[in-house]
Amino acid sequence: MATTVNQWFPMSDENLRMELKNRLLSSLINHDYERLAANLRRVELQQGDVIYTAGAHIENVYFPETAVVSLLSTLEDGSTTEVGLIGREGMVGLSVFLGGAITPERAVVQINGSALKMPASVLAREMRVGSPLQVRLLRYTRSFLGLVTQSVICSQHHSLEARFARWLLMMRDYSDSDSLHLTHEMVAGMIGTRRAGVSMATRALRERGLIVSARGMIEIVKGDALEQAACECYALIRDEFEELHASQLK
Amino acid sequence: MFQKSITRVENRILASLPAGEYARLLPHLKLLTLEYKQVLFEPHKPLRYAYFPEDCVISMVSTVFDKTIVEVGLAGRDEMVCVATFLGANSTPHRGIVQRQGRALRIKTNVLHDEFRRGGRLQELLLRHTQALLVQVAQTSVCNRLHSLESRLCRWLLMMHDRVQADEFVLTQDVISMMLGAQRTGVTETAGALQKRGIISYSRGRMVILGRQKLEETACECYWIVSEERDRLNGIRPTHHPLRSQSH
Repeated sequence: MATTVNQWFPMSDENLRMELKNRLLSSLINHDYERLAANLRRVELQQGDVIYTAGAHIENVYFPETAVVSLLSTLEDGSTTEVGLIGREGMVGLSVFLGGAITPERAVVQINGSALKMPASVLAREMRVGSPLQVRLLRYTRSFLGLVTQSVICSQHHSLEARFARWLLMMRDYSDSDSLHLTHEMVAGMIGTRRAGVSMATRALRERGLIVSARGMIEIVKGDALEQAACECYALIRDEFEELHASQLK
Repeated sequence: MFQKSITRVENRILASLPAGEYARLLPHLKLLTLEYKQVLFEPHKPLRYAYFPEDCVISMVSTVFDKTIVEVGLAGRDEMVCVATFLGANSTPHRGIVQRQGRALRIKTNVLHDEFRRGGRLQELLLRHTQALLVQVAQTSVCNRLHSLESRLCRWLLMMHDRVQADEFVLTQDVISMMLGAQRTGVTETAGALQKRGIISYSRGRMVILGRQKLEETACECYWIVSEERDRLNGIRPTHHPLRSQSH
């Protein structure tokens, strides 16, 4: 596995806790968080790192902070298609939580950044009846299922351009930046189309003055107009995650 | 009393429960016959009941702004609807519609949730079911993007065939188009081609599966990815794709 480990320190310090950017973990109250803290390690993930290969036994789960991870379905011809994105609102490794132990999907880092890594065995232990983390993960599972479900609808009813716009906006929100480091090849795999399709969609958005693109970088110039160009899925998913976050802070 | 008559449960989730847990649920389970096209719940409304199909089939559908309907999940006797009843938000963006008439066991949401929170076998089974559903939905989205209408139709017919447990079932063209998100004309043409090859017989809204094996060969691998994952989660040795290698 290609994870680059920059920091290996226990996350029990209160100050470090305050800096937690993963929303599942930051919404836990001190007592519950402290039990987990000794088993959390902050790692830096690099774009392209493969966290899980399809069919592999899951050893660790990841709570992304600034990193964003794609779950990809791999077909026999080797082609991959994104089925879901996981950022600071969630956890990579839901299959462990749901009792599958093996991941049917490949997990690849989409945006560089930090994540908190925890052994799957610790998660399993934590899943005792009604643990606060379990309650959060159940609710997150519902939101994640909503995200995946929305993709079914999106893939059938929305234009490539609208889907591309939605994906760019999601990436912007996760990375808190209008400049995205993305190649056409990566995007093609993510939204399930050919490279030529991505080139066309990029050109269309560029000609409308919504984005500029050059050498693997895409910059969002007019965010509001890009939201208009995106399908409704963008707002639905964003609202779902905001609601999730609000419910966890209660 | 109807409760006492539920001696053999067809639904796999309920049938896998240890005696104690099942006995606790039994007084709360109501055996019902659900009618074709019956709406079980509406989007964004509180869910009063969860349903465990015995021999009926339930579709989870989503309505897009322009009133188009898309199927996002299919549930038969290996499954239940709706997972939102125990995921802590007691509502779903989807509508639950009966796709094939038949029996189901119904339980009040709060009773199911209380039993779920006890953390026993039911919790484990429902979470595994959720994982299987996630794979089903994810693969449907991949399939819609990448595969031909013919292989998608075959995949869907296999999923129905598995759940209906009969070779013949009611299926209108409108329903097929909705489920696959395809134009009616495309569906007519594709179903016609399968009929010519003797794989199905389809007329006046009645579908008959004549050649299961040919259907399996024509379906895309998505069918196998989903059914193998479900079998693995259910602890059943998967039945492998005839054209795929046995090793994983």
